[in-house]
Amino acid sequence: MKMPPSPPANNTVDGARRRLLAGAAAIATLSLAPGVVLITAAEAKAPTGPASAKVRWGLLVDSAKCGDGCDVCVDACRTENGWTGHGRPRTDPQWIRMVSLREPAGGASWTLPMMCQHCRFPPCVDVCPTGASFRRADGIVLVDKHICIGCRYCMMACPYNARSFVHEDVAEQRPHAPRGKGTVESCTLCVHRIDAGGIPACVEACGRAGGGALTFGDLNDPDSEIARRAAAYAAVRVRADLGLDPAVRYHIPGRAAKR
Amino acid sequence: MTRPRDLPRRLAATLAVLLLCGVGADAADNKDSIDGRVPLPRPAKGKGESCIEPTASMRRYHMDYLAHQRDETVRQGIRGRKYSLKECVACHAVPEPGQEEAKTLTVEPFCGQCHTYAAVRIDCFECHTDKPVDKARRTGWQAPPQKESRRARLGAHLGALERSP
Amino acid sequence: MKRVRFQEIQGRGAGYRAVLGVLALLILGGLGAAYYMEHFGHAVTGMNNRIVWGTPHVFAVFLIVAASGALNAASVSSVFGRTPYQPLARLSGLLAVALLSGGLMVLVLDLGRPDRLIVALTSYNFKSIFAWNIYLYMGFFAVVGAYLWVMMERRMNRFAKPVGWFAFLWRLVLTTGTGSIFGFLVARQAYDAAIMAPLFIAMSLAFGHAILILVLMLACHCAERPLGDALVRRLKNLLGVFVAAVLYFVAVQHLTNLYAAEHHGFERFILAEGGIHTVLFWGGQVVLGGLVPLALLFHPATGGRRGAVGLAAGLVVLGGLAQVYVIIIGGQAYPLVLFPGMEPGSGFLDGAIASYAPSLPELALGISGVAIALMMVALGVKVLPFLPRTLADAPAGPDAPPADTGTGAEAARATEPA
Repeated sequence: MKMPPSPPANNTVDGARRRLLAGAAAIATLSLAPGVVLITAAEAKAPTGPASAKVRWGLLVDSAKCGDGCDVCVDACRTENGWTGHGRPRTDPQWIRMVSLREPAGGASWTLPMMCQHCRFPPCVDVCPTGASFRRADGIVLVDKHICIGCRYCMMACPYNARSFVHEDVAEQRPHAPRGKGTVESCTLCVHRIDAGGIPACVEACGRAGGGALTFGDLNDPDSEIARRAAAYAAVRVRADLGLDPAVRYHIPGRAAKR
Repeated sequence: MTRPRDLPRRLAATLAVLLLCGVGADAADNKDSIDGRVPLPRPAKGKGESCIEPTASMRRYHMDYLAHQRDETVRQGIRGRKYSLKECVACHAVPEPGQEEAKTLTVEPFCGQCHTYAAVRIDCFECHTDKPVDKARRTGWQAPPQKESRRARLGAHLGALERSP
Repeated sequence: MKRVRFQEIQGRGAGYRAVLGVLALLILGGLGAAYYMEHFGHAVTGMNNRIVWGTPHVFAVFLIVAASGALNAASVSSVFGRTPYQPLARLSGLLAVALLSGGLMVLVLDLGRPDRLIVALTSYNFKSIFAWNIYLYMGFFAVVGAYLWVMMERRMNRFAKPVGWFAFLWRLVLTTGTGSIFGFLVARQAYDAAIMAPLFIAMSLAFGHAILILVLMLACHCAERPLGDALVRRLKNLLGVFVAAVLYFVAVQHLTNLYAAEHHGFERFILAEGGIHTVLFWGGQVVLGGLVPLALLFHPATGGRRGAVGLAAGLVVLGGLAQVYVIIIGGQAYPLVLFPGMEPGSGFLDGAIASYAPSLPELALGISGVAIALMMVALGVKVLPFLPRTLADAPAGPDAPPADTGTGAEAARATEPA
């Protein structure tokens, strides 16, 4: 099997990506065809990658559509990546979690998912002594568990509490999401799906069973839905003061106080 | 009592006996398991006609093939090239020894045979699943306990810790 | 010029063996704890996804910081030319190496994958202060090793001063690196401040010097070697200066934070409402580890007494542990501020103070680091001439003007035990 020169391959993938994101019909197709099918199809074809710096994958969270008590995205992530808890909340893994926010004065409240923000200047990558924390060319921040020694300095450095340390033995990992005791892990933006031209499991699940609050796409492409909506909303970067330029953006509109 | 000047001679004799035993063990290993000795590895044949490289190359270089591609996959997202741990598992997973009727397959016995024999510890399957991809897909992801014994012990252990004053 | 004669200790008595035995048991306990933590995973410790660094790191950081400070006596002798400290230079170097070894062992055994330690030596990210520290720690062993060698090998004595200078600079950089582990953490209210580096240097001076005083007193007592009052007085005055320096940097750190409304929440937590952290800060760090030792060291009624000096040094050590605990655990217990001005909440305790209770294995591992350090010192003074035969005050008086060279070179000329 020959490896085609990278730019055409990427364009193809990106093109497919954009077409898939173009409309509701595409999302419906995706929801009918689980990610595993996409992966299978991709495996049968040419090898994917390498990841290109021309794209920057990102997520837009519209907290107006994020329902109270809804954690479809969390469940989807758990199933997709196989991180289950053992009823020990303080040491259980937490790739994505629902955070509630309350305005102290008015009592208005929001909920939104919090996960790895895939920063352009990630502190976890800066501090990692072995280079196990790294940022892929397309902006996805990952842990190379082959060289992670479990020092947890990245967890000290992350402003979002987005990383978990695997505190105990792991069994029944998903084939595409290896994870093991003594290493650090976090949201991968479902990199295995993205490489195969798919979208993250949380986005897919939110579109299907949640409020459609998550938009995935290429922030570098001004015509992409995510870029247009991010611009229209003046979407928030969490801890923007740190200047890390996260790839996950939040739309937090005003909401009336309850009761 | 051994007089001091006898000591070197005795040591040499002991060494010679040990060496002879070693040679004997080597010769004996040409057969299968001689009682008590480490059996020669007899990895089962994988699926299909042949592996992606000649067997001799695979035996010698499989770790290099995998390590090289692993970095490309993790760091650059290059997936679907020739070598892949997933594909190793897909072809070489077998039932656990002693549980031949069980439906779950695992690659650990296949890898484990030679690795035990050569005393080379691998930690691939501390993170990667040792079960074939297709199997996981067909059944959907459930959590049938595999390394459950230690986890169960941890649970019991933590429970006991909490109960203790 | 006074000649200092060094000699190994006898180390045959039952007391010596008992000490070694107890230390060995503590070390075994620590190794067992490490195995237990690796076997089951860190779930069996008090550490979790919010308090990611726990008691082992308190001990490790304390020991590493103290290691650099233990080199004080040697630096004061070689670099600043104070000859009265010259007899202590060797012990000071040995203690520095021993403390660093203990600290690093704890740090390494707490890793999630200590079996991959080789990766930390082969795969580097040069932007990481942690990676830099690996060089700084390894270099410290080499530099202090060389320093000990030029002090102990008569033909190399003339290099004692330049090597001493190099070691002095190296340890300043090393402690700057250790402090910067925290200073470079941009995300956390508790850290992210340039003052962490000088604060850690002041801490290293105080902790290391206090440990040196304790070890010296203990060694002289056990080996029945005289220890002069004038020398003790010098050591205690220096300790007082270091303790005051720590208090100064702590005051500046918190005053600066109190000025900024952004940090009020964190300061309220540490200074007033933080429960155990507040108790440890005021009671442990400031009063027991700072004010009481200062009073003991300088009050006319106690300042001259050896027991009071020893007690003060011990309190500085305990206060130091409390201080490192407050810095590491307290700094993590206070929640990250994700959305300033909002009240956050989640199943992951967003916005809430994280609780932490040290577990027995963590404590055992931490204490084993101390035991390793003491074991190395105990064995070191037996096999090589680290301790002077006598530390009694010289007839000329300790306040005699320093010798012209000011290095250990001259004085150490006749160092081999007779």
